[in-house]
Amino acid sequence: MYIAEQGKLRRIMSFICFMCILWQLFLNLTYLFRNTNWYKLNIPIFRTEKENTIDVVLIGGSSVYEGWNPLQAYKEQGIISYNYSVASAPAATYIMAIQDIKETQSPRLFIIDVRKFCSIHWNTTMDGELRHIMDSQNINIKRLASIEYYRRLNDLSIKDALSEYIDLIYYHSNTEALTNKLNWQLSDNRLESNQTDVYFENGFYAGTSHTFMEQYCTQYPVSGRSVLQKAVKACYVDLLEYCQINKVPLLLIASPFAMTEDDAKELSCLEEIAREHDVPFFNMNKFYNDMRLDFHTDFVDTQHLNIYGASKFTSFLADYLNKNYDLPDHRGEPLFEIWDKKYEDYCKYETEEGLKLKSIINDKEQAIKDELTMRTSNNIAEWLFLASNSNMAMLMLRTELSDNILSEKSLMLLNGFGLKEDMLEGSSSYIGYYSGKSIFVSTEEQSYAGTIDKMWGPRDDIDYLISAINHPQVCVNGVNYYTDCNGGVFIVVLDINTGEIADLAIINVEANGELSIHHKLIEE
Amino acid sequence: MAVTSFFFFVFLLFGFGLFYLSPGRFQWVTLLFLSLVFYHFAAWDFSILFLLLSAVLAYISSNILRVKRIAESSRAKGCVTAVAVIAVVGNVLLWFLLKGSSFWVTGTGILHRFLPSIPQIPALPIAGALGMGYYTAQVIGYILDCYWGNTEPQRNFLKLFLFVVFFPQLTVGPISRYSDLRCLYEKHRFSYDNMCFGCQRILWGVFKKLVVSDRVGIIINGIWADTATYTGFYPWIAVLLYPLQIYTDFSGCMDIILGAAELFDIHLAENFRNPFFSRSVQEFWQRWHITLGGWARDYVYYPVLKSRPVLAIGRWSKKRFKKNKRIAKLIPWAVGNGVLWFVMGFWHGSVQHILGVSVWFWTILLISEIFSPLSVRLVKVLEVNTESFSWHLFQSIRTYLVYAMGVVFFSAPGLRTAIGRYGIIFDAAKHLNPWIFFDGSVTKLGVTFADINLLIIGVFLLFAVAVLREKYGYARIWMQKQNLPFRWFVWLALFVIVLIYGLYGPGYDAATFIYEGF
Repeated sequence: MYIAEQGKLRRIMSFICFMCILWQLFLNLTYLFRNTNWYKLNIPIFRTEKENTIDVVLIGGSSVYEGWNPLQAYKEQGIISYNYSVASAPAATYIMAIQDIKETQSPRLFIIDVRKFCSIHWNTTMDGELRHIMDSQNINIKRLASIEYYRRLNDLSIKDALSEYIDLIYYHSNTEALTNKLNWQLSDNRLESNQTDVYFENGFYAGTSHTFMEQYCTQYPVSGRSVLQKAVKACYVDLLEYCQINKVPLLLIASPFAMTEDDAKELSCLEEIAREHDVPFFNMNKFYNDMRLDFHTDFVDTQHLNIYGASKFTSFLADYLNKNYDLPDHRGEPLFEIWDKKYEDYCKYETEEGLKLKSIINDKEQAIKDELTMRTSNNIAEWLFLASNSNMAMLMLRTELSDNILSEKSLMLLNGFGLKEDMLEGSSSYIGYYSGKSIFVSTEEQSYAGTIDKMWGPRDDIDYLISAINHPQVCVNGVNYYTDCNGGVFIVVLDINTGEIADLAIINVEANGELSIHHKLIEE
Repeated sequence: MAVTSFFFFVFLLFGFGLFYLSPGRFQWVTLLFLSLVFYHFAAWDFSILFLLLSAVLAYISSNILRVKRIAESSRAKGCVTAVAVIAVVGNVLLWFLLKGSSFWVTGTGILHRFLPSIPQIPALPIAGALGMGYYTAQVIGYILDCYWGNTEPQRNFLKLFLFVVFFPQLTVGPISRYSDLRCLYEKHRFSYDNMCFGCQRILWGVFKKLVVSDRVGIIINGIWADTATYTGFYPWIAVLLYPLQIYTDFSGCMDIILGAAELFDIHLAENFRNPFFSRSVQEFWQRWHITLGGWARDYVYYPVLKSRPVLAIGRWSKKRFKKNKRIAKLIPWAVGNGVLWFVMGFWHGSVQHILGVSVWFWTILLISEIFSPLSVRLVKVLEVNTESFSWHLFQSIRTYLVYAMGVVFFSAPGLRTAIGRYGIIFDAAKHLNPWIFFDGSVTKLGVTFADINLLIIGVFLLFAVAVLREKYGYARIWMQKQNLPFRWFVWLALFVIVLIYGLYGPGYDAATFIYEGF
């Protein structure tokens, strides 16, 4: 009897041990096979932070990790903070984020960027947003509940739901992961910040590119209130109520972006609901001037600040926190000495990247100035030099064959800019696209269509079509440009930063083999 | 709900808990409930009426048989036979109308071509029930067993219905006998060994299906999808790999089903016993789809051999070939086998299956029977050591090839395609391209070198397990004797391989089994 009981106990113990190993193996495989894009690393790094040391945690999407610089906030106000943010993190996952943060930290303040509640960001494309944040979460009930909440809120079909709950179903064929050192480092879903090549310090990613922005919404507060989508409102209210019930110290912010009037209306709506729930709401888009935010220099794109913008945003928000919240000043504490060192390193990094950024901005500004020169220049070499600038794109079309032959000098000139003689000689038709290092040329294709990422302006790209069929034309964003070239090549020069037409020109080969340029009035 | 789906495993876990929490005398009710839930998720709800109809036919007929059997009069005996015939024919007709539509659609189509006045009859616009071929065979077996007095008819209709609808075996068999499934109604106690063995078997089945079978399927489908490009040795690759695919697919599914049943302490009949170790086609069919072969043998072959017409043929051939006893025996044997193989092919439900199973294997068996004295003499003359490994290997390869050539009919979606494929295979000699085995061409068929390596490892594992099975009855018996770390390592490694290299998730459709359609 005793032996039988002992045998039974041994079996139970053995079964439990086996199941534990099986479960652990399953977890490690899940984390190992996940997609490890840099913008998902913030959360595994957060798990390696020393417990209960962070006073402020910011939650949101990429606007947070490209905006708030915890090192600068520490240096200026002594605030210890972290960006718990992943690119495109859906607002429906913020409750899960709070719960996850509270497992290892007891922050004095949670700051949530509400921009994901604006309709333009309320994106329900499964792979595009939910996976980004879920790929960095531990497999647990909170994660499952959050996915379920997200799906229910957005009324998503059951198709592929299982692969969201158990992401190994989705990623198990990603055997490339086995060859990636980072994947192995992440097999326990934790990562030391020094283990990644990407500059991530306390969840801050320094945006080092630039786009000329415009302030679309110039009047604030806007009149009228937009009605939030039903799902958005439900999600927002759920978040506020959760924080109220669980006594989560919360500050809602709207970080700066190239806001449209519709965005502004939605933010007003969000602010009103927050007020109804006694939750402070700080719309920083009302304080561009106080922040000294320059739309000409401080943005990576419409939604993200670069290092210049991030510095201004951080400084302004840190000052606000200092004035309005009782946050301890940790400067000089031995535990945070490392932060001083990290800040010094960041300053060096910022200086180097800042110089590069400055040079890019200067180059772009120069390009805008050069457009004027280009439009009036009859010097073919000068014109080609300006048009082949990396800020420009040339859309080229020829539909007739010229009788004239290029001289050796003209040929060398073209070659100097990476262009070939078939632009003006050879087959009767020629279409080409030239932008910096990118070039497409064909004497056989009859049309070519493409899209240029517009660097300046709100949420649209430049679509173009070069066609030699029927009515030869170059079409940019639905506007047709055409002309009679008489054997020459018709070139539409686009400023890719602004999307504006910089010049319309025809280059011909003269009887003596020399090149000539004729500017056309911009016509539709 | 396919048996390789996540939902099936969750359902199984739920069912497992519910079953052992139920009081012993109600465990069969739990099984019935679980089976109905499974049916709801796996098939068109309305089609359960066909199962009900079959069960009702079996229930009424078996109980009439029971009552009439008690009466001794000759009239009652005649009635017993009539009832049995009506019940069997009723079930066959139901199957024929819903699953065997291919016969009358093709048949009337051919007739219509020659005699336009005969209309072409379309298939019924109703889908057949899930696993109709399997449960119909079970029900027929039950009725005949009752008729022959081999088993006592079930008086509780719901219990009989459970025999028909029992969920693990419903989709692809095995074709169980009523006497073997009486354990469904008994009390079952939780057994740790059953749980372990069941899970292990399920894992092994999933490995066969998701890691090996579906990978081989990619290669085969790639080749048959573009026979204009894939000529020469390519169709031969498809032909030679198909037995591996169908074996791992069907036996993998069987492992999952048998493992699932084992969790409930129900031990279903085995359907496979290392078929590719067979030395002859006859032996092959004793190791392949064993329950169908056994069913056809007991309910078709033996009754046919005992039937008056076949006995008459036997008497006639004895007289006609007095001097040649072998031929005298061969003729009734050939007739009996002809009927057996016809039924085996017919059960698969299409003309191409009749050709691929019935005609092909019956012809092969007949030829081997006719030439067996010659082959025996040849073996003697050539002094072949028939007990050597090499001879065994040769015989197994020969059997594999014979099966592979016949089963081309299985791999094709229709009769015309199947015949076309034979044309392609025999046309291959004109386009010999041995370099495809060396220049990486195979990787253009949708698989990578890693997949091919994995297949080689998979085949090696299958072989190792098959050898252990031959030696120990079950590979797991050998495994149980090993030390704990080794056992755990093996099961965990298998788990990891299935998890990583199984073809499942978005983009894959591993939901269907080749034998699920019958």
